[in-house]
Amino acid sequence: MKYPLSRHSSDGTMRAMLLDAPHAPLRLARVPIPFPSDFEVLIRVSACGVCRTDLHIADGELPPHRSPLILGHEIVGVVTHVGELALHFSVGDRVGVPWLGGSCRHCVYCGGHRENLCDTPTFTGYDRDGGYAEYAIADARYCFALPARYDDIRAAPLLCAGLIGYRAYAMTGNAKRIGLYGFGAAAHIIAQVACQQKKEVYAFTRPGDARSQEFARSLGARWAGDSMPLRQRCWMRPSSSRRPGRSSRWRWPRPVKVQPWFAPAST
Amino acid sequence: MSDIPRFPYSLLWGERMVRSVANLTRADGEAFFTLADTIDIHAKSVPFALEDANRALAALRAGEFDGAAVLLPQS
Repeated sequence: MKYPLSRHSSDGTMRAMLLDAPHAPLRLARVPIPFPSDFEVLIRVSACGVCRTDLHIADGELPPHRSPLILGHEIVGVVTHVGELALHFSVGDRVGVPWLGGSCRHCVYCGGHRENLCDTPTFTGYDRDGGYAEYAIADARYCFALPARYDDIRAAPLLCAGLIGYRAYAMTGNAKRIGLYGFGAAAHIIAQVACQQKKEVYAFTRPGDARSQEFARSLGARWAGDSMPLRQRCWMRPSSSRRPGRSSRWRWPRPVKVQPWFAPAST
Repeated sequence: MSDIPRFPYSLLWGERMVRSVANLTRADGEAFFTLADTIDIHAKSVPFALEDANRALAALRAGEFDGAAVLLPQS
């Protein structure tokens, strides 16, 4: 897909939201527009998703790797300049930039197509500046062409919530029933994928989060309800008509004490 | 990040697995976007102007919306 070329600001600067230190609010500033080298492309950012990992960085749970830092790793935009070795995309192409923005390309993981485990990765919006700005630099080898059927604002969440959610979903293989714990950005995308692939989706939310439970059901979840402590024995016995069918193989899961839990690079 | 809560071993019995997911691979992206081009995924995007990034983060933290917040730097 080709888009019209964008214009740089006349003074070579761009607006960006800067994280100076953990816990500090992001600061709006004008900074120089970066220039791509080698395998890099310069992207005029049209949309950038806000991921929970950004919160972990802003809160210092994942200590920022540079200061100031521009967050954002769900970037959609149009290539405006290309480095000399960036043959993967051309000026005018629409691209998506994900969390994994680079890897060493020679370790055992990179050599085995498991670059997600590289010991020296480069993460977008963490090791290098991200998409909370009018322009961003990215290594073209880690960017994706995006399906034309998704406009920019709807494509952005696919680049982390969708992508990493899909990696987890793919690991479920041929499982017929999928349980989604927490119904945030990733779950709301993967629920749709799973339902369209004829899987049964069960969505567990924070106790009492009726809004998210209804949202999950609206997207096709067969059941949505609370994750509840062990002492609340009735947690998986909703009166809703959406309870699982009475298959002879179905057994109500034993109650499990569920506590808040956070993981890196998750949404 | 917090600790993973404990649970009875009986829940894991039967060759069940606990597995984490780290980041993504090039192959994940190619597979996902190929699939996404054949189905309809309606991401519920909640737009924010670039300068409202702090408000977007606060709303995400507070769970004020369903779906995903998206900044629009060119608006």
